[in-house]
Amino acid sequence: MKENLPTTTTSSCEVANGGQSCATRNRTVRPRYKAARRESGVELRVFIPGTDKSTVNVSVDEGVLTVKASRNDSMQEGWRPLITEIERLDYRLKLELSSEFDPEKISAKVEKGLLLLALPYAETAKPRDIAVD
Amino acid sequence: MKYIRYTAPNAVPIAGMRRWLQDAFDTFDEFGPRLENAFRASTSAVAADLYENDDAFNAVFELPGFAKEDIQVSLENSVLTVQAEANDRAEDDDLAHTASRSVAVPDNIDSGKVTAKLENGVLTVTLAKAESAKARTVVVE
Repeated sequence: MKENLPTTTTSSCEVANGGQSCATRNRTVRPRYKAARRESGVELRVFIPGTDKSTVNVSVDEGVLTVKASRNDSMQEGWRPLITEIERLDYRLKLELSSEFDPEKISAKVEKGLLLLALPYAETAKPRDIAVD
Repeated sequence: MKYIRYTAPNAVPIAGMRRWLQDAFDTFDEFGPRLENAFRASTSAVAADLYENDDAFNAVFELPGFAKEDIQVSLENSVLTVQAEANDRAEDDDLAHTASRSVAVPDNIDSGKVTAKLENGVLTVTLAKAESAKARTVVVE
């Protein structure tokens, strides 16, 4: 059985560019994320260090959750680089949501370089007891 | 002359191959996220930058999700170590995480002048150079 957690739909390169060809776009990076199942839905943590709330955009269109975020930090001018591992690219993430989630009730919060997304289950997907007559 | 379509001895029909590939990817789709989470639930890899100017070194670490109270910075034997442990989660929570990273830094550092700043999940540690190591201009008399 497949997990009903969000799953990616296309390659990370295409995802990062909204389906555009990888050769004709600005470079972006697909952020790391973790998901945990809760009683009321799924809690998603997207790791977007170097960004603040003003640059983060979250949207849901036709069952696809899209996260876009831009980094505010930059290479330090006037400093000579000795080690450079951090990729200072904008973030792009697309996740296909199953019908068990209610897209109208998704909430988002940015703190400490994390995007916290709460994806509540739709009422119809929640387990319920049925009275026996 | 009569033409007969050639069939390779062990050829897999296209439809069968497609199904075989789909099955393989479906299996990975199920297994992949579990494996990924199993690794990520422990210690995360931390990307780092190191810069230098005439007066100091700047070490930059990506530590998203950590508060400043969660982070320990130490400098010992020219090795700068950053350790972080999120305290807002129970240990068995899928979202609990820790991070650790060490970076070798030059030994010409004034250990009394090390400062750290955390902003948007990015930690910047500034290590002032020892006076004797700073570049200086010598006036020619």
